[in-house]
Amino acid sequence: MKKSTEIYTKWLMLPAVLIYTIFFIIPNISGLILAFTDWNVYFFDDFNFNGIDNFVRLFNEKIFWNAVNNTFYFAIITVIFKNLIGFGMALMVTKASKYNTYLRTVMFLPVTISGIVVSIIFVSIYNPTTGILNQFLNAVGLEVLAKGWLVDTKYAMTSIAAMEIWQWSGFSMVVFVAGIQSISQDYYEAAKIDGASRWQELRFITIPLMMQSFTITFIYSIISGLKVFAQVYGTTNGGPNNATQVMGTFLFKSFSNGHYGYSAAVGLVFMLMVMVVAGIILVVMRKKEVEF
Amino acid sequence: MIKRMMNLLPKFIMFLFSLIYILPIWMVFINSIKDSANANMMGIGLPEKGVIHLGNYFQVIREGGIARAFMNGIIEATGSVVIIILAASCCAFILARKKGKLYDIIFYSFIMGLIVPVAFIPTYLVLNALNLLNTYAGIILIFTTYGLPMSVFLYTGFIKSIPRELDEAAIIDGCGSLRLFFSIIFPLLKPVTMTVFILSFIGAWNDVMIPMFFANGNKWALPLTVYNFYGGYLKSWNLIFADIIITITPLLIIYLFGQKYIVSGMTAGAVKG
Repeated sequence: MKKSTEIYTKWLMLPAVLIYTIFFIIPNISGLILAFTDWNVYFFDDFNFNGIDNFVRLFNEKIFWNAVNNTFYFAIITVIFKNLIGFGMALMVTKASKYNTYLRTVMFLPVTISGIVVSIIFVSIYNPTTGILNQFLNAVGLEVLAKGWLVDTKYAMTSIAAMEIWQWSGFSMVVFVAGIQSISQDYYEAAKIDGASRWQELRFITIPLMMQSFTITFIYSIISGLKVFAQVYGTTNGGPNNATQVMGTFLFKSFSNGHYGYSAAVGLVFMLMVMVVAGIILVVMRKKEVEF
Repeated sequence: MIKRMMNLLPKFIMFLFSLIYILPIWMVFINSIKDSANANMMGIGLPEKGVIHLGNYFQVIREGGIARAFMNGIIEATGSVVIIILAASCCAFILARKKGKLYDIIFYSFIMGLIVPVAFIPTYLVLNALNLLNTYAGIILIFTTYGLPMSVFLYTGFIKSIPRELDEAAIIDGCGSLRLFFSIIFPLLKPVTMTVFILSFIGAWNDVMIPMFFANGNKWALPLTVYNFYGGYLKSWNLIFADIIITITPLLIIYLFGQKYIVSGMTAGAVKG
């Protein structure tokens, strides 16, 4: 008879590993090489290594730093509010009831809509004259707050962030609900006997014991925040005057311009940025998690 | 009485809060059945005199290339979902059962795929070299590639919870490893398969970046038809809104029926860590 681990044939992994190697591993490794060449669409068959020229050019481009700033601004704002709002909602809707099921269903609904479609819905909502946001503000006598949400360079990035928060706070909520539900009721009963207040229960039981959920939503929202593309492409496409240029749109622009070597360098810097940030958060958050 | 009011207050506040999530979708829907002039006002009231302009939908379907885009979405999403389910479950079965450096490396390189953004230029070159640019196969394979990491992750976690004794019993009864997997293990994976199916389908259906980079307009799916309309008919929001409703309805249906699986899939990481 065969030994127990020999019954598992390695070949079952082949399809997944093969596809993944060809379309993920190989492109990422060759991206490393391409980033050091001057290859472009105009001299398609002729490309030379040009050392770190692409990176020098990139780091000297003002729009690039602009894009980095905007990307981080967007990522930080969305991480904070997706999680704050999601956590607040989770506390309100965790108990099983028909009404809470309704609330959860509705708040999670935007997650299923394509980012580009959400963008266009919000182009209409943010319309300075006819959009429902300004119409609402005017109706309740808050005309001063009505702004040119997407056309004013001061507010455009924040407006796109608010849209992203609208779409994804329901996702954080659902993760938090699962986290809260996995905490044993015994802890709360013990706390009641000790005379803990609702706030103390939250502070010393709920939050520490659901740190894993925070890790997940933080990582998830910071990665999607840094990778943002469709939301910006669909609303402002980086404008007005590069006020909303992010790494995703900057990369798309350099690609469309046909500077492939340069564009690969942009992609490489982008990738490193996301990996470093995600890595740091993962390490920090893992330390805060408590075992049950 | 006052106590009753105090109990209802949070519920009422949550109701108002839920309106923030519903109103935008209501606004899109109600304006999709108004005429052009009224739709451009973007109000949330009912159509004037109760006249419903279903003509918007017919016009969008006629002029927006909806049928083609819909078929593109079905082909690309279904194709990638089928490959993802088969390839990821097979791969995860081995990753969950075998121990060793090789398996760790493979598992962690899949995890990397969750973090790293798509390397568009080199991927473009690989597709070009394989003659897969602007083909369904190319798009399906790229969707598959970026759907695999999450799916392998979910399947591996689930298969680890299935006792090995089951495998051994099957082998003693004379099952080969292929038959063991397909006739004994795979049926047990149904809950994860549902989750992977829905998550990958939504992911592929909604993605716009991959078709935009790697194919021409005739391979684009529904979400991008909205964008094309928006460019072409800047003043006709009734058509844009009708197009949006057509685009989001299939997923809303999947969501309402498969809610349980979506939620359990998306939160799997939160519970398992």
